[in-house]
Amino acid sequence: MGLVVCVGLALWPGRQFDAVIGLLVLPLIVGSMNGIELVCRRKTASGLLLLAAVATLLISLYFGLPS
Amino acid sequence: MPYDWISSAEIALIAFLAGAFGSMVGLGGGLFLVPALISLFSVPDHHARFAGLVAVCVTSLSGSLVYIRQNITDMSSAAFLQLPTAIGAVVGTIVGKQVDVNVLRSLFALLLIYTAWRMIRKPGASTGDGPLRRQLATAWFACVGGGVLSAMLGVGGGIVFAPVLVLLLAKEQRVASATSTYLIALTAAGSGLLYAPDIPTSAIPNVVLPGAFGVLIGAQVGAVLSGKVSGEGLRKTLAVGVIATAVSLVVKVVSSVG
Repeated sequence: MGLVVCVGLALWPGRQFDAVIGLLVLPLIVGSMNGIELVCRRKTASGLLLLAAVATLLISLYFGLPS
Repeated sequence: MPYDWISSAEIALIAFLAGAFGSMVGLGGGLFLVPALISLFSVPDHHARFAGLVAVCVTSLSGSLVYIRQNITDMSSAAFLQLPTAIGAVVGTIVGKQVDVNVLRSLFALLLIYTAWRMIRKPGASTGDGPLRRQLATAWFACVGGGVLSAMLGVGGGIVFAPVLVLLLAKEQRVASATSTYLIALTAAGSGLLYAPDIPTSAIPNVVLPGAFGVLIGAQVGAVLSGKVSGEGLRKTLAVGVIATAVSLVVKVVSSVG
């Protein structure tokens, strides 16, 4: 669904940068959902590692990187 | 570089071929797309890396959604290895922004030569042993390296992740490919988002989107064709192409230094 929305945005002039950012954010959303599912439904600690991976990327995005 | 619609159409065509051939030999399109953008279209290296990461992200995301639905992806291994790949992606992006462009091109040439060697030789077999503590630690650190490589060069990193899953965690090739695809999506997305602020908006419709959709469509076509073409002959032919690309990158490095 998210992929379809982003592809639609990519065809819309002026919204193409948003489409690319949307495409790049989607795996973070999917990863978070899978992590939550592993922790809550399957009761496995490995879900926490997946959530930690997403958190690592979000923290580095928040603080930015030197360019 | 001045972008126009003709070069965008050519980029989409090259990306389509990169995606199709990459998919036919079990590699991501980024490995072929990034050097092609640099060598054939003189796209600045960081634009090419970003385009490669977006292409890899889109392709692996669509692939991993299918694999998860089919229950092929080993989510426990993916969850275990995703943290080191994410750490590697952050480190690789920092290094990739600081390191000289010629160093990155030389690294890419080395990676291409290694890829060509892997394409020619017979695939390695699984050890068959269960994962020991030491193997898990090795897999973890190898995935940090895979993440660094992915972010620095704008490729998927599957060339590291899939062998790690097969050789160190004793997974079947099919499961390893599916799990590696899952790992690639988040790693490429993280480094892509970290590179995004440095990318001009003019590069998006002219380089990034034609590259991403070219690779995405090419990968689907390649997946269909892979069962109909002789694998051995294709691998050897493509290996020659990969070596030629590596040589063209080395020539660029030598001519810019000289």
